[in-house]
Amino acid sequence: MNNLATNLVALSASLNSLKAHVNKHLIGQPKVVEQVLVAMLAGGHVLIEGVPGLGKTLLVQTLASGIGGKFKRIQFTPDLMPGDVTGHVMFDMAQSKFILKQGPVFTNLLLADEINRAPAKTQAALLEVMQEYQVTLDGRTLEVKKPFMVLATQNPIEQEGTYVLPEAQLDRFVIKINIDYPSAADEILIATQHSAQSTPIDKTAQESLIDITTAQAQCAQIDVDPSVAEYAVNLARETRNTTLLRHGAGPRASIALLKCAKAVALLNGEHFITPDDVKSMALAVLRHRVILAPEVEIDGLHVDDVLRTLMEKVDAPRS
Amino acid sequence: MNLDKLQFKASVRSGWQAIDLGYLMATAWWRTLFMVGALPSLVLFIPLLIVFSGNPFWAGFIIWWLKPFWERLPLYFASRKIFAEQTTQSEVLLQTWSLFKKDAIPWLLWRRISVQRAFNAPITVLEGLTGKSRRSRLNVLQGKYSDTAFANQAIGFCFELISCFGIAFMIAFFIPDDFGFDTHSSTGDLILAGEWFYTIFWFIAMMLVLPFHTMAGFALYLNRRIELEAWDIEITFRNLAHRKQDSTSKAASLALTLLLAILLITTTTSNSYAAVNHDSHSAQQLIEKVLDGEDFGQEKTVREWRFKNLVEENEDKIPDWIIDFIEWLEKNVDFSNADGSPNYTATWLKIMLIVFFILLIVYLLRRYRGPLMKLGRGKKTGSAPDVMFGLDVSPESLPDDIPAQVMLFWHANQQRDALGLLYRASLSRLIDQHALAFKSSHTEAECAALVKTRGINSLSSYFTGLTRVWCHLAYGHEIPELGTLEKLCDDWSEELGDAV
Repeated sequence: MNNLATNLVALSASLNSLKAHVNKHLIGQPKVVEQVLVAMLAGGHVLIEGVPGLGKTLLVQTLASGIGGKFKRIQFTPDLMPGDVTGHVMFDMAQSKFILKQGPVFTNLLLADEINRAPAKTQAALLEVMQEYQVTLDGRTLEVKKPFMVLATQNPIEQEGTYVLPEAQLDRFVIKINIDYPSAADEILIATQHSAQSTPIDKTAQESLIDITTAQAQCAQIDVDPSVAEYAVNLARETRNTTLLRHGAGPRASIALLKCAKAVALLNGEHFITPDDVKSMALAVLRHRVILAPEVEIDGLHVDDVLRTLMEKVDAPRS
Repeated sequence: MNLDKLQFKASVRSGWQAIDLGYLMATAWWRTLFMVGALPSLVLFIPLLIVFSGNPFWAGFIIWWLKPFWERLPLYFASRKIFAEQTTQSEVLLQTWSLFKKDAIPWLLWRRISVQRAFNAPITVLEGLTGKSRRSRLNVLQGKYSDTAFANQAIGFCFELISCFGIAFMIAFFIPDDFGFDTHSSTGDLILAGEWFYTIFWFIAMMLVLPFHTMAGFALYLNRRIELEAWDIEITFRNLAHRKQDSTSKAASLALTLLLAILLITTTTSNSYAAVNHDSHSAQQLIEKVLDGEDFGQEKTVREWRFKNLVEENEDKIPDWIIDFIEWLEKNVDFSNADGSPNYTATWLKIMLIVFFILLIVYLLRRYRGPLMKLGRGKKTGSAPDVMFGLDVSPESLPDDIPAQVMLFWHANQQRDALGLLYRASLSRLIDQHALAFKSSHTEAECAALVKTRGINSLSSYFTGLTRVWCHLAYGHEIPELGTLEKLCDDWSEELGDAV
């Protein structure tokens, strides 16, 4: 704990610089940036839902440059094959041998754009990499680069011809972020900045702002009081004891809640988590792991409304 | 009025059956009823729309206010039609002015808001009664059907609303999304267009429903007259008389007719207290005589087994206070008409009002018992919870001198207890003195945010600081410096300790 406490100041400062770097380019979405950083520190993947044109690619690109990592993007389409994601083996005529062509998953940050447009087979290939952090090609197991993080996006409109992600696979995303339009003032700033540029803005940082692997290791060391762990579990369990939801969150949700709470604590420069850290991430962690009851859905209630109601029922600890 | 030609079976119906009969009449003659109601109103409605083109609501309102007039023509038509008189639409329309002018002023002023308008209208329109004679006639006619007459009026109003919005929504559903209507941008033109549409829909709905509720009110009126004047018996005897006339000799026929006439008069008289002045004294004597007779005068002793509890329960069925209350009402409240006869509608209305107000007061006292108790006992006591977040936050659970007790714990090497007491005492005081409504689900930061809403900066910053130290101890297991605790204790006395 002492070592961690010593490093915390420096680490927190680095994380804040990274945050500032991303916020500088992605204007008007500070909460989204913070949540993506939390997911990154927790070593998880993120599902982002929002209409096109809100800067999802820019977010990943800027983040990749901030951590000095590689960034790749796959546009999911109905004809995308698993090999297009993971890679494939091909015969090289010149060398007269089979060579391995690695797919776009061999990167640090992968933007899987409109993941629900590809068929289940292709989705499964990516989701397997997300879970195992490795790809098997031609009998050879290849590990993906560390850190590895997938930011998958979904478009809430234009659902025609999409393949909805199964609940079991949704569970593999540590959080789901709903990205919304920026405020009017921020939108004016974005429009002014971008209209003044004749070439695309350079998003690369001068140097890597943080060693994200070290930060992830430090994050795992954050202290968890038993009462706070119990609170996180109670929040997840509450989703299983209600008629408002057809399907509640599983134990992975409790794990994700604690992991994310640790990341929040690290971003705040603390060496322990509080119930506030857990509660602040509860919506993002739980919203894609539960299914609304049909009657609640007919009533027009949003999953976040139901989760807020359930959170009100769980007593906060006073250790 | 020739009862032989009555177009429906004359029998005493319940109020709802009478309304049903009214709806049947409206369905049968719907076209004429609708036309004679809608045409005169349309003649006025169109110029009104032009005059009030900037605010069409007033055109609709005037038409609505003149509704008693529009109801008179369908009523007149139906009164002819039920006795099989062939009346054409134009003949009815020719009667417009003569019907409208009957007792017009009262019907447009205080009687406009009558809740039994459709039931009362025939007395003015068909019987032509006004003033005192109308009032005495109303006293005779109104009775057990007054509630149904009110229900008829209410149903008509509801159907008007439903029809109006139904038409509006039906048209709205048929407008394509890309038609160019931006309902969110409430421009003046759009609002005015909406007003126009709603006024027109309102008018249509009013005219669609009008024949039904007018006929229902008329049927209720007829039903009451059948009951009071025994039309059914009269028609039956007339039929009998006709049949006998064909089969017996003239002499026998004459004798029978005379006999029937005597019977008819007797029976009708006994049924109608509209036409006959009762000799109440002799009637009372007769009733007493009948009650003293063999059929009623017998006494019988019956012995049987009964459960004791059941007997007690039955005895307690009507509590004494209700009986006392009703007796008090009888003694102190005048429930009679001007002529001394009992007015049951007024009686029930008064009782309902008194009960309603008592219930309202009880409800208000119950609903606002928290603030009222606070007013009564001052600020310090309220409906504050004793236990919050699993901590006892009741003022009684706290020591008198909290900072001293905190320091005592600290020096006894019980740092957690010391800070725990300070945090608990702060929550208790915030609930008690500042009426903060913490919930068990609130986390530390949410509590601090709630304190901030009180707008007392020093208190907010003190509690935020205390929360930070508390969190570090509770979840981070970091024991604060002695100086920090001393500072918190000093500030506590300043921020939260003065009202002890």
